[in-house]
Formats: sequence, structure tokens, C-alpha cells
Amino acid sequence: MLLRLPKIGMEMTEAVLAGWLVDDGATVVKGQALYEMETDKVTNEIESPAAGRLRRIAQEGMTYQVGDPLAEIDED
Amino acid sequence: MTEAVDDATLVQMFETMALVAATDDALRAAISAGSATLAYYSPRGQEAVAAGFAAALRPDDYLVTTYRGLHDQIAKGVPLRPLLAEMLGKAEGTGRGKGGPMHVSWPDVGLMLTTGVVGSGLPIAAGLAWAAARQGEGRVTVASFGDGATNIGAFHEAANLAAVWGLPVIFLCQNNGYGEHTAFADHLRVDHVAQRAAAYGMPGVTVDGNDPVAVHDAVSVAVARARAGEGPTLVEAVTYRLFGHVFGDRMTYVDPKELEAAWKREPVTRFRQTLVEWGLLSEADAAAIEERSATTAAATLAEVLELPEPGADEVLTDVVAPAGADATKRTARAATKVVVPDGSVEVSVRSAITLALDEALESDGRVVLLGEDISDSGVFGVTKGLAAKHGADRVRDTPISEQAIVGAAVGAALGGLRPVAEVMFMDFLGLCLDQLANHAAKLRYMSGGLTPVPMVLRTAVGGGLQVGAQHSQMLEAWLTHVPGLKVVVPSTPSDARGLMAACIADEDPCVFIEQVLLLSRKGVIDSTPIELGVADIKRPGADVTVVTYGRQVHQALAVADALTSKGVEVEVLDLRSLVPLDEAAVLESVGRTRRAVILHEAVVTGGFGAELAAGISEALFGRLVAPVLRVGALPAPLPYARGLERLALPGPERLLEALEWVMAYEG
Repeated sequence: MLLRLPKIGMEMTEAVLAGWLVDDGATVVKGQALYEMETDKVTNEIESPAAGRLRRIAQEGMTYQVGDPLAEIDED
Repeated sequence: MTEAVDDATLVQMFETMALVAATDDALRAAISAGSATLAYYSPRGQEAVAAGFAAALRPDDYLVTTYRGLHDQIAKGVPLRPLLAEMLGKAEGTGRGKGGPMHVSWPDVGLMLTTGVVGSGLPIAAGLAWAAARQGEGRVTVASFGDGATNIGAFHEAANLAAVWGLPVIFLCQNNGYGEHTAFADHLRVDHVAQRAAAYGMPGVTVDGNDPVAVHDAVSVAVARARAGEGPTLVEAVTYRLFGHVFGDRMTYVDPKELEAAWKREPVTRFRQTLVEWGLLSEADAAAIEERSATTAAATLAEVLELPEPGADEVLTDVVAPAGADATKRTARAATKVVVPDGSVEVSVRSAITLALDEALESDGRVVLLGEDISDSGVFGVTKGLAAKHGADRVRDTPISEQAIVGAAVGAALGGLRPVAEVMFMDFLGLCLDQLANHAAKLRYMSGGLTPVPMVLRTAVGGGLQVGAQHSQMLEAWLTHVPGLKVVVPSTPSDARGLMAACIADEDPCVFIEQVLLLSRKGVIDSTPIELGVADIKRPGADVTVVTYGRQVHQALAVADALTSKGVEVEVLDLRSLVPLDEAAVLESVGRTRRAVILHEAVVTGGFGAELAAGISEALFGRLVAPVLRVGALPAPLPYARGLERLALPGPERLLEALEWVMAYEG
């Protein structure tokens, strides 16, 4: 499953990937916080929508647009 | 009275709750993964309220809910696929993707409205209940809302109206502890929302909103009361919003201990345990239900994500009814007990409107009137005699509650009536503009045509009567700016009657503006039907066109007569309806005369004249021999003193001056 930068609230268009909360290649469970994203308005922890092995795509400190790929989860 | 809920219903309530939780879970996962981008207001934690009330209803009972409404919608039976498709803006959505998650309607299962405006559904619920009561099918209406909504005027006006009229409504407050980010204790000074029922003389009851059986039982009592004609009940279901206001809400305003405690009362798990303890489900049965729900929700959402968006042709579809939609209704005339004056008798504009209302009440049982004091003829005598003739239940007095009046008209129209509401003065539209502009105007569009609002709003304007700035304004530009509203301003008795008949027959909301100074003007009645959007040349002329409407038509005619002696032939074009606008007639006339002056009573700045002037200039720029001028009120609140009021309103002198300037213009 490809994880893209979500849209949080009505006006968000982009966010900074403030930090990964899990290691690249780690096994995550559904609902586990994966990363922090920061907009002008707020900092949010984004939870994993699925269980599996996480492969990072995006870099900490970079700005991404809503819909940009950030990571991939290999389910099973 | 109500019976204890049976075993099959208990299991079904659990299935509903499981499906809501699973759908919520799938949506939140899709939003987290960035595959769905919507502002999402999770109902997680409130499943028991929806399962409980829905189990107490008939399939044809009405429901009005709010943007945190997924649980209500699923429980009432809206199919998951069009529901999710609407939330994601797809062509297959309930509103063909034009409403969105805050605006789901599905009349097949009685879901008549989901509103994004806190509290606004309540007056509409009252109107639906009125329609249902008049139609005698025993339907009740549930208005679902949050604790935050009980602080907005619409709640109070609707509760009072429903109580005074004895309407079959269940006001169901899902008290989830917060209004947006403000805790209950910080926005109310009573312990329970249900206490507020006392203010309106209706029963109020508080139940555990995390227990579907408790909700079912309380709602069943309220439903029985409503079906028996005993009026509304306020049911407060105390529950909790587990994921905050909107997706991404970090809930920093919530004490973590409070949230932890709330999760321990989480209703789906709790009810599952109850049913297992009662022996109605085995653990395996319950797990199978939850798994099936999860599969259904995830699979449906996955399908919906792949669906196409609505086509470009949808953007202007369903703003108003398609042309000819109301043709069959307009032919329904033949009012046996109404005497129409023949061409030899002059009647006033007032009598002509009364006549049109009388004819409509006579010939169409769906027509109802509502407003302040209307059974006693109304403030200007327009509804005189109608209550005595047609009954006070069809010509119905309301409390002084403009939001409730217009909202009830919206609801009554959704419920199949043809309401004609009166708001005493146009200046008071400010009190009910949400109902008019956010609901009446938009519900057809946002539902993809499923919920049209065929209603008329009559309103008076006192300009020229020395009644001060709050009883005098022509505010038609507020209305013409809102797509979905039709706006009509008659100038003669014949037009008043014909246009009112057309408005009542129309499939869309129409605002009918009655200038008080015009009401006593007399003329003969021509019974030729009038269509909305057809202007009328009140005086032909070759040199310059005055585009106008309402009582200013007569001013224009007088000035035109005066100019004849100076060799200028003025054409007076009476628009009659501003929306729909007879653009062809305007362009034909001005194209011929090549000069135009626009005259209206409203303030010039930002007035409808600006729209007309722009339209004329865009279409006829090269053909015009003079700039298009606008004549209207000066940019001030209308003053009280006689001399000042005359100065502020557009008098014949200003029109004459404008016409002479245009005629003398040499580029």
C-alpha cells in the first residue's frame, strides 16, 4: 500500500515531513504512529492505515504536497 | 406504548454499529494513506445512538442529520456505495458528487437532509413533520444534532414552533461532550440538554447514548407520542466523540484520562459483550459480523475510490429545475369557488395577490401558507379571508421566528407541500438568510436533483412609507447573487396574480417581493398565464430603454409620458422576474434603442442594475450610442425624515436627468 501525504483539514496543501517515528524496514501495526507532519497550522502524527513492513520514500525535513508518496507498506 | 426490543432487532442494531465502525475505520485509513482527501467528521463513539433511533423508526420516517452523520445515514439505510461515492466526490454519489460528505440526501430511506450548518436542520425537520402530519401517513421526523447546536437560534425557534404546532418531531441531541473544540460545561449552564425542553413545553429525556437499547426505548416513546399527534419530544443521548472534531484533530483540549475513560465505554465493544452475555450472539458470531462489516466497508471504499468524478456537464445541472419541469402543474387551474374579476373591474395589487393565493389554495391541496399573523390578514391585508375560507391549519400563524418560518417552508417543500411563507419585511431576511441561501437555494443542487425545494417566500418592502431603515430596503441583490433562488417583483395587479401563480407552480424556491406602496395600485386582471423569466414591454419606444421592475415601472411610465413632448420615445421594459432573467428581451430592446437606463429602488452600489449594465455592455458594446446608466437609491440607509427619504430614493427627477443625459450623449 502506497502512503501519500494526507490532507488534514480544509486548507492544507503541503506539509513538512517533520520526522519518522519508525525505522525504515520496520514492521508496523495498524494504528501505529508512523511519522510527524507539520503545516503552518499544526503538527500531526499520522497513523498507519495497515499492518506490514514499512519502506520509507520521503526524507525528513522536506516539504511535500498533498498526495505525494511518502512510504510504502508491504502487507501480509 | 412501546414494546421491548426483540432479539432480531438487537442483533441488527449490533450489525449497524459494526458497519458504522468498520466504515469509519476504512475511511480514516484511506485518509491517512492519502488516497482519500476529504474533511472527515468521524462519528466513532456515537454508533449506539444511530442504531438505537433507527431501530425505533419506520423505513418511511424522515431523518435530518448533520455533517457528523455517517452513523445516522448508515443506520437509516443509505446504501454504502452511493454514500461513500458522495463523500469522495464521485458521479455515482447520492448527489452525483455535487454535495459532498456534509450534504448527503437519500429520500428512498427518508434521509431528506444532511446539513453542514450547525442547527439549521431543525426548522427544516419541523417543516417535514408538518408536511407528514398534513398528509396523514403517520410519518415522524427525527432531527439529529449535537449539543453545540442547542445554543443556536434555529434550535430554539424550531423547538418552539414544533411544540406550538404539536408537530411529530423527535429532536435527538447526540450530546458528545463538545461543540467543535469547546467542552459542554463551557457552552451550557445546564447539566443536561434535555432540561431545555421545559422551555418549550415538551418532554425532555436524557439517556445513555452508548447503549442502543436505551436510545431505542426513549426514541420509541417519543415516536409513539409523535404518531399519536401529541407533539415533539427532546431526547438527549449522552455519548462521546472518540476521534475529536475533524480528522487530524489532536484533541489537545481533551484530558487524556477523560478520553481513556471514554474508550472504556466504547459502544460497539460494549454492546457486543452485552449480546454475548445475553446469549444472543456467540463470540464467533460477533467476530463474523465485525469481519463481514470490515470486508464490506473496505471493498466498497476500494471500489468507490476508482469511480469517475462527475462529468463537466454536471456543473450547471440541478441548479434549478430543467425547463418545462413544472408545465403539468401550471395547467392545473380551474378554481371553482374563486371569483376572478373580469376585464371591466379594477382590482388592487393586494387583491390580485390574495386572489392568486386563494386560487392556489383552492386548486392544489398541497398549498399551505405560513407566517406571522397571516390568519388575521397579515400586516398588509394580503392574506385577508384566506384562513376563514381554507382553514387555519392551511393558513397558519407562526411565532415571530423567521428562521423557523423559512426553515419550516423548506422542510414542508421537501415533504411534498407547496408552502408560501411570509416574512413580514424584506429587511428581516437577515434573520433567515441561512435557510434561504444555504438550504432552499442549494438543496436541489447538492442532492443531484433528489431534493428540490418548491416554495415561495413573500416579503414586503416599505420604501417611501417613512418607516425607517429597517423596514424599507430592497435587498433583491442579496438574493439574485445566490444561484438556485428565483426572484420576482411584480408591478401591476395582473402581473402580481400571474407571477404568484407561476411561483407557486414552480419547482424551485421563489422570492416574491411586495412593495407596499404598490399594493393599493389598481388595474384590470388579464388571465393569460405568465411564465417566470418573461419580461414585458409596458410602453414601446424607439429612442431609449428604461429597464426596470416593481413600482419603479410606473415612475418610468410617467417620465416617459413627460418626455414625449420633447420628442423622445422611451421604451419601458418591466423585467417582472430578475431570476430567471429575460436576457433576450433586454438585449432585443436595448439593441433596438441603442440606449439604456436602469432604474431600481435599491441602492445603486452592488445592486441588480450593475448586473444588467454589465450584461448589456458585454453583449451590445459596439452597438450602444451612450453608456448604460443606473438610477437607484443613494448609498445610505434609508432615512426617516420625509424630505431625506425622498432625496435618497430614486425620484422622477433623477430618471429624467439620466434619460436626457443619455439622449444628449455624443461620445
